[in-house]
Amino acid sequence: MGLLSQLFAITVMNLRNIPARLSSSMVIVVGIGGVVAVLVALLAMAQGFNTTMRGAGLDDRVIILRAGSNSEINGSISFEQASIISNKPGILKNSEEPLIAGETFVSVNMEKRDSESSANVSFRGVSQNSFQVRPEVTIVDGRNIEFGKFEIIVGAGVATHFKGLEVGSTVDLRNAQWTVVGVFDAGGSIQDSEIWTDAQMLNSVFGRGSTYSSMTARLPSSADFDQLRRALESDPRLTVKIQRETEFYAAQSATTQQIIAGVGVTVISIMAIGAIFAVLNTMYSAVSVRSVEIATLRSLGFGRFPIVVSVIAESMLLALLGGVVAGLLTYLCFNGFAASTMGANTQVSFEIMVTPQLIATGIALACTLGLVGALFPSVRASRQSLTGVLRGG
Amino acid sequence: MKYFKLITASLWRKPLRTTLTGASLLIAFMLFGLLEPVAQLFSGGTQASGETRLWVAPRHSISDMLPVHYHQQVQQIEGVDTAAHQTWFGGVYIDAVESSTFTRWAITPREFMQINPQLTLPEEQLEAFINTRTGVIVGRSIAQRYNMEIGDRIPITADIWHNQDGSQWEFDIVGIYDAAEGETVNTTRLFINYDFFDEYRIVGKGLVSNILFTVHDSRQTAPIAASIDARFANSEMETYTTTEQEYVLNQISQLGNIGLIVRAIMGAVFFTMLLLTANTMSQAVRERSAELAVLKTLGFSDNSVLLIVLAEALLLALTAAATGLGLAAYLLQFGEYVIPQITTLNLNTDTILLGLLVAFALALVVGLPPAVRAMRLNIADALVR
Repeated sequence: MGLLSQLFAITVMNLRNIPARLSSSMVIVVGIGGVVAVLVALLAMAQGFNTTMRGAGLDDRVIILRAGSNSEINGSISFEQASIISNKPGILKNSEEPLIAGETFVSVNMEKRDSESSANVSFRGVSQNSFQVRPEVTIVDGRNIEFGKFEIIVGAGVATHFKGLEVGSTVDLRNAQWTVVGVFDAGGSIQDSEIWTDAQMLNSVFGRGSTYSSMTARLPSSADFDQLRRALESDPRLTVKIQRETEFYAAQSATTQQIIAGVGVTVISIMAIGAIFAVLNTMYSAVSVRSVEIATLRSLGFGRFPIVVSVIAESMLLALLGGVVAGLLTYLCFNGFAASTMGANTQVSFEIMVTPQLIATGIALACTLGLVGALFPSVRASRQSLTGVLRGG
Repeated sequence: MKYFKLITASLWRKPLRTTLTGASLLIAFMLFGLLEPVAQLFSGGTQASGETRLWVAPRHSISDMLPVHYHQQVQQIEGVDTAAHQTWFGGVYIDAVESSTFTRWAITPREFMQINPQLTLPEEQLEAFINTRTGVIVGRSIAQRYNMEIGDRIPITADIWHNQDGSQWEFDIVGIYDAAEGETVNTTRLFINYDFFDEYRIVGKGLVSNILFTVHDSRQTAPIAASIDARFANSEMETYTTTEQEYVLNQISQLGNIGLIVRAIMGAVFFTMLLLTANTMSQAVRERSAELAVLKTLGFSDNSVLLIVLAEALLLALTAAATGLGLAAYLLQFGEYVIPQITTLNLNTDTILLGLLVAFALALVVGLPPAVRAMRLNIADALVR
């Protein structure tokens, strides 16, 4: 018999008697399935958070903060500086009007829907220009704010997670009554987790005087970044720093990313080691139960190699099954689940995204664990003494 | 106990299998020991009773600030013991990622340390802190992470609080504080002298983030909190007063329901372990039915056989659990290297007991069916097979 047909014959035989060893085979399926489920779920959370944090980021949109500030909440740019910045070259113009918006950013305490607790929500004071600078923002319910009034519009994510923000309701903040006049959608980006109002109103109520927290501008193209940067840096009246939005949001999510990665890597590695022990155990007992069978095959002229491969194939198939089932279950349970967590300073709503790539990563891990766990048992199976086993030793 | 030798011998009948099962159990309990403190932290499981430390925060926004004169007003409220205040300093140390490993606050040294007895600082270092304008004290874990020593000068770049010279802030380390014996407390904070900070900052002079105070009588926390909030209602800055524990928990809970996620992971791990160990145990008993029959022939009662098999499961599970929890306790001290943003985690006695209890229950669940089978074993049948 050729090597391939030997391989095939033994592997099929092994697989066919899996039902006889159902419970120990299930150990591999469940053990590896557990690791894969946790891995895919954690990656899906990280992915969802990442997509939201970067979703808003465009290469040709920039954010300008006071030098030394890392986030908008620490920023402060005076109206005077803002008007200097607006006249710099390198900013996209809409019929002579530069597309740049000064915005004020504070964090406010809001009650969450699903619990008694409250959380910090971004409260952004916007300018007229903000809607041209961020064209992805559309009103999906109610209407837009009228400038000069105590009116707010809430992001879709905020509307999902927080209480008392239905269109028409009023919110009491800092001794002022704010009316919710609409809900906006920012295309799944971080702005969906914000509440917007007129920057002037926010400044007066929150005592921000004549300052913005940040300015956001559109560039004619990504390549114009350096021109604007040089113009800002060379002006002695300004102490600001400019960042592409993509880079800004990547830095904003760094800490949360680091926590998810730290917890994830630790937990997954420990679980993976545990799963390898489980596979080892199952496969050792699988080959020990079958020792007579294997010795018989060897006496019939089957080579060592097909036996090694057949044991590995069995383990990997069980692992694969575990991986696929876990991946699908994670997809069914978690995909699209609306979660919210702490961003840099305030709540960020995001959707958990179980993508095919993540499931594939999980399945790859499953197969690796199945392979690693089966190596030693398979070699032992092929090395056992024929006469000893057949004599019943 | 006289059967101890017999129990270990039968456990060691297949050393490889027992080792592997033990090892997977060990891993499971190690994971339990590492994750349960995290779950407790995030679900507020370690809430202390008789909380006497309260926080006054701005009602509407963490980016708002309280006028410093609120400090004296709180101090004068009936039932308040000692009041202190703290102000978020922020700033950048080295870079954004390193900065996130510890937080920086400006405080009133004497009052702050007085109401935080869970932080210990040698008296002469406290005096140095009070008397050195540029003095700061750091927690033991920060000092270790960055090899800081008393006398070192550390630079911090301002992000909120720019100083009068428009330069970076420079501080002198005058003390290193520790967590008091047996306390799980955050030692990843750097404290700055408020007077120097307030004098040297350009904007926001006279504004602080929170006022902290202790009360004489823990039963009076609710009415005192209410009277403080009433005192500042409709004033320039309304307040929200709550126990420190509740305040901190609320900040943590904003990360999401992490306690639930972590416990779900542990559930999955233990379910797998249950399946694995159950499978091993029943296999072991099946293979040994002839030996068990011999024991019975020798006069061992049905109950003794039941107990012997059960004891095997218990011995395996408890040994693995004890080792796993021990390893976890050892590894937890390195936790801050993996996730520097998290406070110091400790494996407390309750968690260890819970772990051993879980091991006991696991052993019973997986040991009982094969043990009952062994008990009911018919000698003649078993020997013939």
